[in-house]
Amino acid sequence: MADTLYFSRNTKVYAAIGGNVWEIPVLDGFSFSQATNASEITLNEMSDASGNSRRGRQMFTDSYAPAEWSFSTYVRPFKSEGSGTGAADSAEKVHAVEEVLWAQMVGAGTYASNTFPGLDHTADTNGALDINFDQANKTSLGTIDLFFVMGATSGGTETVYHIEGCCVNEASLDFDIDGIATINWSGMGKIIKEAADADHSFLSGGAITPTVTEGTSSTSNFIRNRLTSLAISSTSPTTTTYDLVLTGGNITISNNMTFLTPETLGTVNQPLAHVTGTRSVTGNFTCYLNAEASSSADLFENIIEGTSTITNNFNLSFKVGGASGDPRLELDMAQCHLEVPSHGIEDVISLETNFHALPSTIDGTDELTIKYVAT
Amino acid sequence: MTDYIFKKNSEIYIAEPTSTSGRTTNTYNMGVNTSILAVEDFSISQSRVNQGYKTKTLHEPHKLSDGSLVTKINPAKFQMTILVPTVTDVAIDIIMDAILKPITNSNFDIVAFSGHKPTQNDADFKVQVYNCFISNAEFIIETNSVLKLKVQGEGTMMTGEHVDFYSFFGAVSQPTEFQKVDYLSAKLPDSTDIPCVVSLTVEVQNSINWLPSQTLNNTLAGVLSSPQQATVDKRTVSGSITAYTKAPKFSSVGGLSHDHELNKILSIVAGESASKGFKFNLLGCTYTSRLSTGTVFTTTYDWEMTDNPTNFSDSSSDTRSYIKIQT
Repeated sequence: MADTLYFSRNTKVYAAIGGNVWEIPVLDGFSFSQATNASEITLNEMSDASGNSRRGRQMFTDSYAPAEWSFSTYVRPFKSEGSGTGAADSAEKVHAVEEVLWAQMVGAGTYASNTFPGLDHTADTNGALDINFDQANKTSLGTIDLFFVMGATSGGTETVYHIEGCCVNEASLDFDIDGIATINWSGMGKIIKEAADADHSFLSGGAITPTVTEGTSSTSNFIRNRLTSLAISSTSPTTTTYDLVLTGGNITISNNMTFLTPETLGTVNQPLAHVTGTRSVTGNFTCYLNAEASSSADLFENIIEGTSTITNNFNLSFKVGGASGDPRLELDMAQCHLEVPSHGIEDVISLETNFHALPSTIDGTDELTIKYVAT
Repeated sequence: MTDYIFKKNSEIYIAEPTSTSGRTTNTYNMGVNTSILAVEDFSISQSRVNQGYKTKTLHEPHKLSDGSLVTKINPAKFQMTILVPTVTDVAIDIIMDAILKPITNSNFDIVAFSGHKPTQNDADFKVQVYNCFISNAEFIIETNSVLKLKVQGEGTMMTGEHVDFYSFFGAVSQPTEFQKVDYLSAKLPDSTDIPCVVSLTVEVQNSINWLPSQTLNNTLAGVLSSPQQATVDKRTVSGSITAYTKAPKFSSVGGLSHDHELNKILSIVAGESASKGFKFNLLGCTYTSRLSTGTVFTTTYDWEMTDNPTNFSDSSSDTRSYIKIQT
């Protein structure tokens, strides 16, 4: 009898909230795992009269560590058809294939009327999906159930792994010049189980029937990083509008979540729930060292000479995919604290600048707004 | 074969005797009858009192070592950290009654049983503390933890013996669901929520005074005198609330106008929701405040209850002081 093996390229990933299921096309390199927390109990005896000393040890499983998952998705905005099987909306509004993940990162993640708290499909009259952190100052955020269907496209026997109660801990966007805009997602969940048909209405014979699939098969909603531009200006330490041309960069948004796991005696405890930590939006951008006025050399000079400025204030606006046109992704950070840029001594000398996006007040949530644009 | 006893294999039970002589009926596992209470850690100990006396005399100057008499047993001491369940539990109700309504005659024992889940060479072993009193209870409320109740107490006697688990207690079920802090409301006298709370603590201390039980007859007969009865001389309910200092300063809002206040109301609810978790309704409290200059300035309000309710566990009305666990 032939063994049934699975290849990562035959895997499909789905996110579910109740009976609503989104197909999440992921790139190669996804992962999920769950570890155990164990205690080692050892003996520490002295010698008996015969020189014997017991040297054994015992292991106890205290609890399961939270399940950890990660995968990458392309940034894929699209305007819904407003109807049809798998439609994201009943109206022609801008959505994103990966929006269910953003919804868990920025708010309660509840799904109603084709949208989530923190996601606004109507704010921009020109057609855009705005994502904000207005409802993110909570001790816990939204959760989804993730399903990894092994062998989904092989035509053989599928095995479906279900990670229950997943929170989205981190999203990271890299701007490499030659790539397609990609978000690296990671998070945690309660426990990994093998899914059974009886437990899920959308699961039958190892196949999942998603309710939202719009945009997943389109080839026109990918974004080229090479078109990315950065608008940067400052009010402190100097009032300057800079003219920089990016060669690369990264933005990382992290909820710094931890998972609660009881540690009662006499049982193997399971993870209970997540708790949010400090929200951080950090990143870096690289550009060539340029001595033109208000270019990167001036950026370095202004920051390193600003010794009386404890917290500087830069306005950064990344437009991934270009300053205009679509599809594109805009990331606006109105208050950024920039570190002193570091020089990269290569064939062409470059500057790498780390930044920290901050809210306007410490109890604010306006450090970052995200806009998906599509037509 | 040597049998070792592992704490990791232990479970904690509450045993309620039907009479002062019977000790094995009405046994509640932290998890048996209601399947929801659990203990994170525990410790139990008891010591004997060794009374030394001089043996050196003019005639026997070589007797440099003291003689010894062991005539008395100190109270057994125990400590455990209990995780707060999401449903009502008989065992934790008994613990709460012992915290809030200490009486002269204790009506429960604590039984730690190791060996329910035998591994390689471990033994079925029972440690029992009889006639327990709770001397200290700390209500642990932390954002990154489940609700916990850390109790310390004393009992008349501690025993340890090999027993067969199933003949003693029968099958047990395991706890699974516990409360975490998704909701926190700490209200001041004018019902204003204290803003920007960093941490808060609540502690109940019962000062236990064991009645003397040592008699000359027992000493002469070589019988060790163990504690028999105790009284609670004093109860202290106190705690602190630490919040980030904002303008206007904390003491000028919420009905507190000075850096110290007397006889003010304090209401705290911490748990999964307004109707689940710890609830403290304390009608008369003394507040004192102190400012701390950490990376972010904080104000800590230390408080102590001065009210003396006749029944501290009666939560039928908010017009009286009480503490309860809401499930």
